[in-house]
Amino acid sequence: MSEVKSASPRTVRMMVLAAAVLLVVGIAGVVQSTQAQLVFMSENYVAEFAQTHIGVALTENDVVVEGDDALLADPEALLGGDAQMIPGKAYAERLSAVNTTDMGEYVRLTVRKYWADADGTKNPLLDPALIQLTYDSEDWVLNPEESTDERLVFYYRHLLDAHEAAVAPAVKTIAIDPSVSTATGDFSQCRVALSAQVDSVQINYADDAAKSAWGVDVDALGLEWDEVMAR
Amino acid sequence: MSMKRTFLKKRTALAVLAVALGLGVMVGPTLAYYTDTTEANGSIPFSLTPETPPPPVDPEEPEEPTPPPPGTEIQEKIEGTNKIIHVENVGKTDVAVRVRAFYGTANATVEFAGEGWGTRAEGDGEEGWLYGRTVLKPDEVSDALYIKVEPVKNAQVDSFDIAIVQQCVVPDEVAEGKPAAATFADGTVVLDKLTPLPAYEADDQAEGEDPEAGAEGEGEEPAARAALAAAAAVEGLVPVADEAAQLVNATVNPGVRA
Repeated sequence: MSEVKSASPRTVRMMVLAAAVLLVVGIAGVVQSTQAQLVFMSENYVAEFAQTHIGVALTENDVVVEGDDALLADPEALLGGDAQMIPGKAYAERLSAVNTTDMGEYVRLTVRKYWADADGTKNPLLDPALIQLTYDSEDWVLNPEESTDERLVFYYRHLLDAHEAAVAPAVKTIAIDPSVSTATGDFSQCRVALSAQVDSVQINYADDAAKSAWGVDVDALGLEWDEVMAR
Repeated sequence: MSMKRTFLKKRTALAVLAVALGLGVMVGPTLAYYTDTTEANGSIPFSLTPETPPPPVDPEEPEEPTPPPPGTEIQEKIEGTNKIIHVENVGKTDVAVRVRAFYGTANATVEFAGEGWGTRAEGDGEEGWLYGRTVLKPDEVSDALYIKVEPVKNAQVDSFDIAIVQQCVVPDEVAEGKPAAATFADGTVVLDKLTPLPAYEADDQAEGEDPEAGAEGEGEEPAARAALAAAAAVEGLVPVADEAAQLVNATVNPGVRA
């Protein structure tokens, strides 16, 4: 029994040596395999990745605009030589939408017009109805229930295809009512202000999407957004 | 056994709960729709001052030029006891004219004649006006209106006054081929439908008629502008002159009835 249980010193030395050899070979192998793996990953795990989303941009006179002070930013181009807006005269202010992605979408445009003080803060005492916008009623639908003297909400009738702009701008011109000269309020130092927001929804179940995202029944507006589903 | 069964039941219930919870968490993303939004704003200064230029005049709707005001003058001639009236258009536009004579009725009878003049039907408009039956073009003179005065027999008069007042208006615009018409203060007159006065007979010395007989017109102030003329032959009967002066004043201030 004792011969079986106890190992000779020679055997022990052999075992230690074998363990040392294994350790060295193992480390070398790990290093090599690790290097090989890095090379392998670097060449094969580079792949294109695209996230599905829709996108829309606002355009003013065919130029994409976004952010504060982006609208009416070029008075010379707007006024065409006039020192300032002349009451009763219409100036070109084309507000529209363009699809910036490769997916179709439906869009709406919300425009707010109001008077501001010289420092740009909104002045609610001056009548926004004195700022007049002309708009397109052929390709856009004005929702009267959402619209007020200050706010106009337009829905684009058609599907806005990928990378396409609306066929016609919703808002075409801006003017100041000549009756501003007799209107109540101080118009001696003020600003004509516009704020525009363009929203888009997916084309699949677009009416449900509009209802969910915007709370608007587009069918009631006479829009046939879901007809596209049959394509 | 019963304890083990209870334990199994609890595990099953937990598993069901976990699945339900997982499904519930998934409901949110499932109902989301793809949307996007973009905003922009801006403003430009505006200052309403007296220097603000007036609104541009729409070239499609030029202002209609103001037509020149009508103008006429009375020309009077006296032949014996008769008076002959002409009205000349001295303005730059066509006119229709009417005249009215004021006179006393106690000492003489007055009669009107002249085919170029007419009266309106009885009850149509104010009585007393005599209308020119044609439209007068600029510088044109109307036909003569004869006023024949016959003193009442045995009357002791050495003078008799007749004051003449005339009014003129621009004729109404009528379609081609339609009869000319003119609108005075008391209504529209179709010139073709006037009842013409009898022709003048130079040697007519007949008895005078009721002065109203030949003058069934109407009168009141001018619809447009009235030119006037008051004339008195020789010396005046004060009431006649007053009445004429009153009407003349009224024509100068349209809108105030005499």
